[in-house]
Amino acid sequence: MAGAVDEALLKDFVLDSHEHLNAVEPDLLAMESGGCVSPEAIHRILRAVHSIKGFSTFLGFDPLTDLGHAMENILTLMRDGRLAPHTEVVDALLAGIDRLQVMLRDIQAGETIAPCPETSRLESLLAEVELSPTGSHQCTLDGSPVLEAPSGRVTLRVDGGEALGAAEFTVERSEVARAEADGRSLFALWIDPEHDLSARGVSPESFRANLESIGQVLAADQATDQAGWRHWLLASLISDPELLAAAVEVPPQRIHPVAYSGQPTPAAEPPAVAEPPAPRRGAVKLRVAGRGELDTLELVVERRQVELAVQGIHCLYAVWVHRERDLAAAGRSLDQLQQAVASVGRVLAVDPDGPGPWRHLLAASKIREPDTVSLAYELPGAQVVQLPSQVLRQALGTAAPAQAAEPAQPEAPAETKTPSKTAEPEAPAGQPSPPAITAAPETIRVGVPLVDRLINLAGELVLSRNQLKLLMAGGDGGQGAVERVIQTVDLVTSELQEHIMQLRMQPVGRLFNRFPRLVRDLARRLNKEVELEIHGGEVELDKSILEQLTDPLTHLVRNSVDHGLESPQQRRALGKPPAGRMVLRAFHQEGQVHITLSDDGAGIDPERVAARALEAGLVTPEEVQAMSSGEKVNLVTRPGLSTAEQVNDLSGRGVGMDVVSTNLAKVGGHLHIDTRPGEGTTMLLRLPLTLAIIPSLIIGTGGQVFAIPQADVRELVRVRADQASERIEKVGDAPVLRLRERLLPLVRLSRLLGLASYYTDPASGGQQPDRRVRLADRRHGLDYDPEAPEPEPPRERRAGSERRRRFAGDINVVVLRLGANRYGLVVDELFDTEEIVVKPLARHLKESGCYSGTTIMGDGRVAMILDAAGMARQAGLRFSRIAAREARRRERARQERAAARRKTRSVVLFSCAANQYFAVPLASVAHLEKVAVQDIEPVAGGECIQYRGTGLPLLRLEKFLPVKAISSKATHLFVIIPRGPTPVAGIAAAQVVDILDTDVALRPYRGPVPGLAGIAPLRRRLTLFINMEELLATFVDQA
Amino acid sequence: MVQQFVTFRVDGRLLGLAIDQVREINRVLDIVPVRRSADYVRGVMNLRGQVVVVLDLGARLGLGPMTIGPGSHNVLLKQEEVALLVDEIGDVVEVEPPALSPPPANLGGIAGEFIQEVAKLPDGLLAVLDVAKVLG
Repeated sequence: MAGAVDEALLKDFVLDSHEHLNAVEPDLLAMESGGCVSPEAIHRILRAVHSIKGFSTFLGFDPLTDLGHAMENILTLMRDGRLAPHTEVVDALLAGIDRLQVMLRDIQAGETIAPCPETSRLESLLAEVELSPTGSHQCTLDGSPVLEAPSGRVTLRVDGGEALGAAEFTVERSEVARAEADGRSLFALWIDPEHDLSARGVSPESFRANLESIGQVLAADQATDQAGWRHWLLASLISDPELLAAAVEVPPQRIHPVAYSGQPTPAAEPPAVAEPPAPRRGAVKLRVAGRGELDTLELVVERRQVELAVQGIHCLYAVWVHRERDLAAAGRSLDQLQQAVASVGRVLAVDPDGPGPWRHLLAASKIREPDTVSLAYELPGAQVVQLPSQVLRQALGTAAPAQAAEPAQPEAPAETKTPSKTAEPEAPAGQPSPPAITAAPETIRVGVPLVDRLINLAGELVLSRNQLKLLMAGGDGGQGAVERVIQTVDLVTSELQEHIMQLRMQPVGRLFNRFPRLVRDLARRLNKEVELEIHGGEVELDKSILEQLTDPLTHLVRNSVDHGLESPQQRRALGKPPAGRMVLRAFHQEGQVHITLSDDGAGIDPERVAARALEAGLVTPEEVQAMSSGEKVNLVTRPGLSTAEQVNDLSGRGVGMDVVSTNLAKVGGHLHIDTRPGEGTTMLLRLPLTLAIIPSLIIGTGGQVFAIPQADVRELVRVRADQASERIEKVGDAPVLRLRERLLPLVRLSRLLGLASYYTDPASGGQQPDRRVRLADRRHGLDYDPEAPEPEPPRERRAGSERRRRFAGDINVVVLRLGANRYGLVVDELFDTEEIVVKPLARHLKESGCYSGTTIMGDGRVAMILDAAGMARQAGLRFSRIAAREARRRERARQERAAARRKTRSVVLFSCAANQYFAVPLASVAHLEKVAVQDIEPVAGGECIQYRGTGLPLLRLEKFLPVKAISSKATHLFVIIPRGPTPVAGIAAAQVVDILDTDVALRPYRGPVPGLAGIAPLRRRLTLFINMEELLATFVDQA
Repeated sequence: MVQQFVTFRVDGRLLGLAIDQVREINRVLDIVPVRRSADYVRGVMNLRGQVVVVLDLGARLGLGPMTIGPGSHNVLLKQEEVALLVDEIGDVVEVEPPALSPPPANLGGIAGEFIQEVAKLPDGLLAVLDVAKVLG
């Protein structure tokens, strides 16, 4: 069978299934987060699972079918409102989906798939739901039919057929549930009090007692119904109606099993039948062919018990008991044997007599070791055989009695899990081994409209070609006609290219869709609350980029949940909402796709990263000191660095961020980390739209042409030859370009690649080949002294004095982006931007480290595609060093600016005694008055002068400040009148020296003196700066 | 079984490759050098839209870099999209197995590791190259 499954079918199956699954996941998540179940969502999921299951059944992947079936069961319950989408349920379903995916992958890889624990998890969940109607799972208990009775009671109606009529029992729901949980079976009994009891001298009481000895009477009619029946509802461990009939001495016709789900079974067959009893609905016939001397065991058990066994709730054992050896010789009866094993399980079915020496039992036990069970039975191990769930499943699967289980042949009875031959005669072996589709080429699903468009375009191209042929063959029309055709070809080609590229484009939503799930799982495991927002799922990316992006992005998301976001407690303490917020966004910018992942978590502490990097020995203290905080943060992308306080199973093993950057670099992407400690982190991933055809800058150096992906190019700078000496300087040995107050390290491509490079001998002025080939060999390095002019001869001549400090021609600098860093690539010539077709880099070319691929230019020549990161590495660029210089420079500039910002104040400089100078801000002075000493009037506790018709108190500084008084010999004083509507006092001064502007910084005076702002040298004299307001306030206080 | 070899010369030495290892021989000599790659990588060429790496067989075999002359050809290999630059193309020769012998440690300045076997031809010895070794 397996061989007949052709590969195309398998591929379709895998592909279809993946698509179904992808479609399902958002629904599952929505279901849980929303709490309410949208019927459409469940329906969609159910449909998806059902489709997969259906296909899988067809192909014979049993474990997958089983899993699908289990999921379907749960989903059906949910759809019917009998099961709420609890976390537990959703988790189980999600785990199931995961497993399905794993199985699909295995199938695709041609491996066999095994039954999985997820199936039993789902099944036990199902069993739980069905067993605990009153529990947390809401479900109805099916009688036939079920009538809701008040106060947790259910009414079971059992139809006994024409002869008996219907019986109705109203019982406690919990009692029924408990009975079922205990593995008891429910039976309805129709008793004719007269014939069945009185005639045989049995009182109803003793009948009841008899019943209670083998079970529990759940309900009993107190009176007979019109037909003369009294009904009993019995829950018994005996599951076989015949057996029960014998035990209670009631004709078997009057005993009906009550099924919980579905109709009661039809009237039981008479007990004594020569043929094995035909399995009834709700019952399963199990046939197990014994090994060696054992004969074939054939027993009928309740279907439910088999199902429980399949679900792994318990195990079923086939037991062979020898009439002589095990019973007679041991002096025990079969009943006694059954009693003996009550501790290990219970007997579901027994075959007490038969022609052969063997008696058969089917027992259920929670014990999974057959040896233990056989010990408990005091039977040889070979006589107790655990029935593998596959056998049971087949028994269940064959609903029709005629097809009831084929011999299940455990290989060696003591062996437990050996799957036996399957029931279906046409099935060759237990697990069909699927044909391998190893190395299956990937496939892309394409919309039919796109295919149609491509076909149309191909048609147009053919038409144009024919036209051209015609024209070439000497048709008329001339030049104009050719041009028109060429134009068409041009248009069609562009469109064709565009559409073909579209084939590879896929929405990033495919990738994003996995994250709600991931975040949710992670958050649960870490006890965090996370709200994930996703935008721009429709943005399209090349398939291969999307695939390469999976790992890095997953890692970033994990990191963000794990390290970025704080626990709800921490967040509350910080005044943040307890639920962390993550935003995943994709959008187009600058011809690239940008993906940002932002969180409002703790952010990355640059110092901590730096400290970790130091600890790990990734950087030296000197390097750290020279780093900007942005660079420190970017240390996280170095291999072997993790900032997690503790390593857990999610992240923090020190791998990952480097994987992120490597994987991104592989697809021409960049990672930029923007973080604000305490506020959050934003990871920006810049990605090219596609890998196959990329817009590139074409440059020339040393007569060769190269391409640089446009995505790496930040800007183009042309340094004029006469500015080179001032704009290009050196940090250490490395040349840097001053660009808008930043220092840009320079790499000269010709040097890096060892292309034709000449230098002018300063002595002779002649040109000689430069022997320094490697830029890393920096004895002279890339410098812009005259020793290293451009290879081409100078285009213009300059004055002799300039000659030694200039370049031959302008310098073309391509500013390349490298994560957070930038550097300048010095090239000879800049050409256009072109769309180039990327060809992978051949093996032999990889070791150069400078290229990322090859392409073929319009002229047919091969051009190498330069790799920005690789070149920086090869050139040995040390960004930290440059950054240190830059930081120092910025600091200086900052100081200068700060100084410039500091307010220059105008002050009035005055003195009272020799060599004692004071300054008051001019802004606080309204007026300067010169008064004669004799005009100063003494008043109570002070002095007064006449000012604008009123008396103005005179403030003498010596009374407030530790200064000398004005000489008593002075005939005139100057009074400084403060600004304000009604001045409090005027300050007496011996002399006003000057009014001047100053930006001098004040130093504090020894100890705080009210009224004194500070001291500073002014015109080389130590000057006391007066705080006018404070001084006047002090004066008022004293007055 | 008679084996067929494509023969060519590098630095005057007669070399050969099993015929089933050769895809084609051409004279596309517009080879763009690739700097910073191994010294025996001559460069890359455009062969009908495919980028093919050309190895300088002289440099590879330790005979020194070759100069492109009127007889220069590329021997394109089947195993990988790689061409070997040779000075001169010879014939396809047929060799009986008895004429084949294991290589000496050194054959005319070529390290024995590059040589798979040596065939005795009427006009001298043919060093059959070990393609895997040459490709590195």
